[in-house]
Amino acid sequence: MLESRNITKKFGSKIAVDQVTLKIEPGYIYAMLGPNGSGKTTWMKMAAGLVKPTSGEMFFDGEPLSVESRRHIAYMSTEPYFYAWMTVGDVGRYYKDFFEDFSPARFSDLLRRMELTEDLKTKSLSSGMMAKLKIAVTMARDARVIMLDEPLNGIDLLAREDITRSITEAAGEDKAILVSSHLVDELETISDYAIFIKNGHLIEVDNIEESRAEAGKSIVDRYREIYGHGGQEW
Amino acid sequence: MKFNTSMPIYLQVITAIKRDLVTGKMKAGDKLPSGRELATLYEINPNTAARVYSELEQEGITFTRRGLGTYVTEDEALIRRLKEEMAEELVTRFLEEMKELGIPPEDAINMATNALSRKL
Amino acid sequence: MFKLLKYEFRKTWYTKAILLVLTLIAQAAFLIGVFFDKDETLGLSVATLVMLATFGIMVIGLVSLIVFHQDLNTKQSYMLFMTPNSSYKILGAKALENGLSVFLSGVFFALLGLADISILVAHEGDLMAVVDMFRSLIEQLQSYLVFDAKNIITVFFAGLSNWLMTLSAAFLAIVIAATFLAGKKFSGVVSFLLFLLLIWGLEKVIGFIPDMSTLFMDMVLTAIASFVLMVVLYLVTGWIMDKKLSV
Repeated sequence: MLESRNITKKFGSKIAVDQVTLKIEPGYIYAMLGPNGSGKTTWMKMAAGLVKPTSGEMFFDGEPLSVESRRHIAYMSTEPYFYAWMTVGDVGRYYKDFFEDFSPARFSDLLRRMELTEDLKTKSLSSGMMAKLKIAVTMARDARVIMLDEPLNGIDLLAREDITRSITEAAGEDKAILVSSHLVDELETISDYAIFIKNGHLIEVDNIEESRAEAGKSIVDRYREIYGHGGQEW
Repeated sequence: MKFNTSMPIYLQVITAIKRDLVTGKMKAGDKLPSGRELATLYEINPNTAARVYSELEQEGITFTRRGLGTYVTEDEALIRRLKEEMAEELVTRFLEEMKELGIPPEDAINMATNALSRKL
Repeated sequence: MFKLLKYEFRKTWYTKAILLVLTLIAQAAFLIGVFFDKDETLGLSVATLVMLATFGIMVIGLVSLIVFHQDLNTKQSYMLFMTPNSSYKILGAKALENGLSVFLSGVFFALLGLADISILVAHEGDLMAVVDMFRSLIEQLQSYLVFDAKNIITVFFAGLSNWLMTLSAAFLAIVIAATFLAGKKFSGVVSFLLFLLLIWGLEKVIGFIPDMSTLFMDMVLTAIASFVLMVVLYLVTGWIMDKKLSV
């Protein structure tokens, strides 16, 4: 469904993503893993059409990525990106204005679960509340591809469960969900595949249950083998 | 639920459900949560949840009523057999691990009996 | 398009509100000056109003550029470029918002000026003196220009297309700086220098238009040329945004 072919992105002389060919299929949850700065964010931003590749191309449903594909791809960045004048309610109305697949009902439901109210000013939100708002507004879209970049960053232990739950709730046969994290174990039980990225290279894509069954390895084990540490620090 | 992440999750969930059946937390003929609800309940991947049900169904422990959902088998004997199987498995493991420690089965059983009498 | 336009207005309305409040204060001072015969207040308020009218329009133009710069160089860019709107549409909404704002504030200040003159005339009662003043002003102007409807309209359109061309040049400068200097500290300064360079180039291009026999023909040709250049700038800017710009 979403596919990169030999995609490369350089920032000046630094290569952020190097010749990555990767295919995301509907019906699965993917955990994109790697330390900070390994290229996860850049790949996602290219898939969202925000960053233009230096070479190679991104495809959606077999067609080169276009303005049209943004209708079906929901992306949540690590950084806050809402306009400074917005309240939580304004953010929802903005999404409603631009995305046909946005459900205000689901948005208010998620806000309630995340303990946010519409009248809060985005400028005054703590980083944890901001993280929750970003997730709520992204997950309120019924998009075919959902990409969440570090959704668990800055989120307390209890709220993490709310977030992983909202991810499993959103999953469906016709949908692909891609979640990046450097907190490997958080995604361990909810993902189908683990995508390991190191220094801009795609190392491998593992079927998690299979590698548990065949090699008796958890993703954390694989992560240690690939990066030489457990992923809690970097 | 805490999982051992080096072992397939679906097997661990199956074991958890079987245990609920054996301990009577769930009864013959009970309706089970939907696959999606199961995923949310155990915080697992929805495909893994679907696999849990397909394996349970193959073992005859659950069955699907078209359009209604998944139910626990009404075959009480099967549940009793499940209990026996699980107990047997535990005993076997106990004896095997004792053997690894160099304790023969007879001694292991004596030790278990002694431990029991101390508790009583 | 309407939705994009709505948010472009929302982003710039703060400046407009401040301008409006300042104008209302000056206007109040003007009314006090007129009705309580305070000549000093009157003089000061008229000067302020004239200043607000001229600089206000410039400020509105400038604010659009600042917003555009932020929309490309800060994380708020995702708000625009995540939505299923093409670069051409996004750019078009911005140009349209700016054109409309400048046009409407022009109309607003013109109407306000007209109203104020009427008030002054009605209060002073000395209609003829004011009319005389205007007549002499127009006569003075006429020594420079042929003052008829045809020329006024031409001047208006020449001014408008020149403004839109200038704005498009500024947009292009900002996009180029954002595309090739993404995130760098001096991208604002670089945009400005690029803008000056572009304007210089555009003036050169317009300079190639041969002199016509009449001033009217000159103006028409210049207006057409600026319009064509504006379209070219718009297409180039949209293309760069579409193909090259990473936000």
